[in-house]
Amino acid sequence: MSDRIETPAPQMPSNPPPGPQAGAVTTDALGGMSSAGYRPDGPARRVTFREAMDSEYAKIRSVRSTWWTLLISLVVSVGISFLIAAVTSANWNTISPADRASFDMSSVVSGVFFGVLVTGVLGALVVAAEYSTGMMRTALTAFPRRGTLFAAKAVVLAVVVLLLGLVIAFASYGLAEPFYSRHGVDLTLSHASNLRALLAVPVYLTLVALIGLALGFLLRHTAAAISSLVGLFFVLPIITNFLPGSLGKNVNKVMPSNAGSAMMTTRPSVNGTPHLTPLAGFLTLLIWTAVLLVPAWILFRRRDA
Amino acid sequence: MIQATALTKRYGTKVAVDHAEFTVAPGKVTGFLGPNGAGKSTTMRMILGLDRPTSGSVTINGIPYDKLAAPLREVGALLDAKAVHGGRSAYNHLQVLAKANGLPRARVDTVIDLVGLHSVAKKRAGGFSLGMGQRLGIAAALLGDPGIVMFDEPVNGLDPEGILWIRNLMKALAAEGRTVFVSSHLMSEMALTADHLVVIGLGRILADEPMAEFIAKNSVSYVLVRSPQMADLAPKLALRGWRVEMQGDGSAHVYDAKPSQIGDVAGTEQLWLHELTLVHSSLEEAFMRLTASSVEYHAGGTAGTGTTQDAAKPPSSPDAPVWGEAAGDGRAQPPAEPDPSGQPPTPYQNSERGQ
Amino acid sequence: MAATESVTINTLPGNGAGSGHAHFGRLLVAEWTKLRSVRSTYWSLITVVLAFPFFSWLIPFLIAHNWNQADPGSRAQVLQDPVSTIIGVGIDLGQFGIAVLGVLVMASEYSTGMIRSTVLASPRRVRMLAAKSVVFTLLALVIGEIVSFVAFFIGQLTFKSVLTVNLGAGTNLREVVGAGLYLGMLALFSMVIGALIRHPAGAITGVVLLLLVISNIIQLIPGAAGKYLYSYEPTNAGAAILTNHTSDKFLLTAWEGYAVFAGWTALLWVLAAWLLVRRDA
Repeated sequence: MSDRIETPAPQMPSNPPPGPQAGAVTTDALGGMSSAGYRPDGPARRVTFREAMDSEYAKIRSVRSTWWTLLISLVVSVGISFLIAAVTSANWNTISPADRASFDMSSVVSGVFFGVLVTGVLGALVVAAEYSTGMMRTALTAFPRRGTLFAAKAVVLAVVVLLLGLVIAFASYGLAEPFYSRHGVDLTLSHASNLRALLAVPVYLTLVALIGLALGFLLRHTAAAISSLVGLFFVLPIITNFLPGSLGKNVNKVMPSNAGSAMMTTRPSVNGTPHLTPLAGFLTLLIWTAVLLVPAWILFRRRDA
Repeated sequence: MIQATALTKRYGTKVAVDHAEFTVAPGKVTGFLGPNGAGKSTTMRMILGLDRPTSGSVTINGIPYDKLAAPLREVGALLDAKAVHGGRSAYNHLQVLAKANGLPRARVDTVIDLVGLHSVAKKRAGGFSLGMGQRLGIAAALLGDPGIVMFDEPVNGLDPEGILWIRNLMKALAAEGRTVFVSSHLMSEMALTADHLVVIGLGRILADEPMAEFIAKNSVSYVLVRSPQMADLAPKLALRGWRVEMQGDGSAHVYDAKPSQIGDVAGTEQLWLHELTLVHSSLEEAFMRLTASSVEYHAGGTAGTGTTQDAAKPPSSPDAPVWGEAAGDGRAQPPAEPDPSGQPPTPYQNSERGQ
Repeated sequence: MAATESVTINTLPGNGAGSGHAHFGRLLVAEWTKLRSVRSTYWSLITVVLAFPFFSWLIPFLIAHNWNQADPGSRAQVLQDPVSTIIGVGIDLGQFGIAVLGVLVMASEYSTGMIRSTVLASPRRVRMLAAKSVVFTLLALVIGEIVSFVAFFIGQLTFKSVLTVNLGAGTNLREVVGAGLYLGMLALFSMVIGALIRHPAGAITGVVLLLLVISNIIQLIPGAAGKYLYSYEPTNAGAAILTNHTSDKFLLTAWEGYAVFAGWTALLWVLAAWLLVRRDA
């Protein structure tokens, strides 16, 4: 029966339709990618890492969810830091001397503990949304070298979150620091340890965003990636908290959220709970990130898109 | 029967559908033709109650879609965008819809077999190819055995076999007395399936007439005649009342005549002929001229729908229709094609309200 | 392909006796089928069903284990509200499974495009939303009650060596039943958030932020305003039913709190229904 099919014969239209529709493929149709534009002559050039990054930057910039997550992360982090500082300052007289002594830079940026969830969500979304919309196939057609594409995505995300983290760190500092320093807490940035603790904020946020990115690549499902992130940062520490004895304390210390908090402290313990040194916290979080990113990278290169 | 009255949809300042008036009658395939972005999908979504008209109305057998008691029994629709949860199997997707309208379980198996998805019915729909997804959409449309069937760009993603199948399906559905409303941006595709044509451009209805009439109006055919004795031949042809247009290269275009008639004249007059070719002008071109005119000129004259004149845009407007596909046969083809299945269509017997 | 051989449609039996009508009862069945036929339902519910009873064993186990070394203060805390000790941590963690599922039930309709099919089969959208709400809330409520009782009995057995927890004593029964009621209402609440935000990632983040961050942070706001905000925040109000000792910042009784949670849910449900009808699908 199939021999009866009248296959439309390819035929150039004898008269191109009038008006702007002629040659209507514009750079807009290519989503602003840097490789846009028709090059009639000359050899086809190999697309470079830089172009992959340009493309990833265009992608992250052009969806509303990026701006929403950045905004919410900023508001949550800075807002909560401010709120906690204001309340602490108002209740200063009721706070015990031991607790007063425990205030440091991590108190100034306390909102980051919550805002970090949202930057993690951004990392997960950057990847998982591409799978749910089918954009990943398009991206891989435009840029088939997957390892490079992965790197470009990670770098662009890291830079965006790093910048956001700097804004969050200094905005929190500007708003919250006066509430503590008026009670004599030493928070001047001329002390290297204070500056280091404040600059740990963007680093922490960036690493968590990369963990979100890795979860997105591993699970390829928005809800699953976000749920896992919540589990890793907010549920797992509660569970390990119940592990008995020194084993429990040690396991609890290296949970990602606790390792991250350790980076922003300048004191050996918070409320009597010992934590890692800032450097150890950073290295621990780095290991967490690598443990998730490397399998994500391997699977991304191996799996069907 | 689908009836649109002054149907209008605005998104902000952009008018997607502008006072559309048309009727889709039962018993035939009605093509809904327009370039990409002309407002076809928006119109179909308003018919189905998915989008709210800004003003005007559209009814199904006199009732707005969202007031239908048994929606899937009355209307089946294949939409252009995916409308399936990718994590659900094709079978379960159809079960969900069947249960919502109390359709028997066996009906799901029937439509799955009908569209040829039997082997993948238990697979997650997220992994379906474009063509399989399209078949699942068609199965959903036929689930309630509806009196009205709407297909938005049904041939998208289908292989040639699938395209032939959907054409025959639409004709068979119409022959059973159903209302079949199918959108396309390809005139060539419409010419093969539709009996009636509604043309839309920039949200305005530009034509609403039988396909035969549209072809007669818009498709011009002529005979290309080449002869070394053209100077002698031309007057003889003109004498018969045929219009002869001399071309620069010693050939002529002869209108209103058949090639055999011209050959007979040449033979009788003992004149040499070097070429005698029947040439159809492209319907696709006629359609493009029509939709382009909605940009260049005021559309009111063509469509008679009382459109707002100042909304017409100059041809340089970025809103002008953009043609995605340049391919397509473009030649007029007889719309009536014998049903290759050779089976007589079953008389259609649904619905007390049957139109 | 077989389909090309025949285009003839088997006609359905006559369209009499209301066949094909999108009754509320039929929508209930359809929504139940939807829930059953996607994996996220099972994943989310497994989280609750495993995590909740596990912690209802773990916490009493650790407490019983260290009972003799524990200081009188922490002992008194346990004795004051043993049920809350048993179910507290389990429900704190298990609730995320219900909340995520609730969001997905509605938001994934939009992210996948299924909403178009849904609305074609059931163009009366409020009726569809009502059917979805009933089916999903009932499922969460039934599972919530079963899991709560199982969790309670596990905790009761684990505590046996050091203390006796009687289901009939004090507010114990209310707290156990309340745990199921809380999960049922949270299910509906999250579903409504999903219907309002229509974006799974956004809605999940929103609900998690509310449960984890906003509900706690809000109590830092000083003065009466802080107390009111803290007490009337939907999930705080709802969780009052899970305990017999609320903080002095909490202004409501257990059932008042639950009523506030229900009120919030009802209010947002009406808003979601109104938007569902108004917005293009």
